[in-house]
Amino acid sequence: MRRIIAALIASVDGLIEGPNGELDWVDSWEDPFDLLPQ
Amino acid sequence: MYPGYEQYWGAILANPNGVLPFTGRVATSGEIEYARFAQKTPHYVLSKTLDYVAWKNTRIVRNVEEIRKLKQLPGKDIHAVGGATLVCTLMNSALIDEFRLVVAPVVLGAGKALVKDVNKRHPLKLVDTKALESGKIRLTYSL
Repeated sequence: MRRIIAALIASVDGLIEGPNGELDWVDSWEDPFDLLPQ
Repeated sequence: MYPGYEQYWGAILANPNGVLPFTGRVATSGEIEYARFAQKTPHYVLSKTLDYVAWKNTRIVRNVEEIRKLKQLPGKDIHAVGGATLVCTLMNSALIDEFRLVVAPVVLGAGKALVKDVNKRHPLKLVDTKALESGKIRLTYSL
């Protein structure tokens, strides 16, 4: 059976967006989850 | 969530040196690498409303039971890279095997919670921790 791997970026206080949907605090979206095949 | 995904990664593929939506900066080399990987990787979009998506090699699924069936098919692992709503929905349906949480070095103070609508306790087993560049930490848990 295939596995499902969930991946999220959060702030230290457990938030994923600012109050208006801001994502500018994420400096890069370049695979911090290590999803790319090695 | 999906429209933003398509807009962001599609913009990188269309113009790797252009200024990006959401961030207002140009793509990093790692983002370009990811965009090219994503371009050739099968995608499933969970949506009750979308009838068409521009991303190639994509299938729209309507509910978690379709995802449960996909999970049972032979193939590679599936990465759920949507927002908190998707992850909570999958967690409530016992469909997540591993949870990779990247903690960024910032306190936002207000905003959308990482976990809001999970309906029961889920003990997690720590599998790996890794310090990343720019002060981020990746926590990998199995469920």
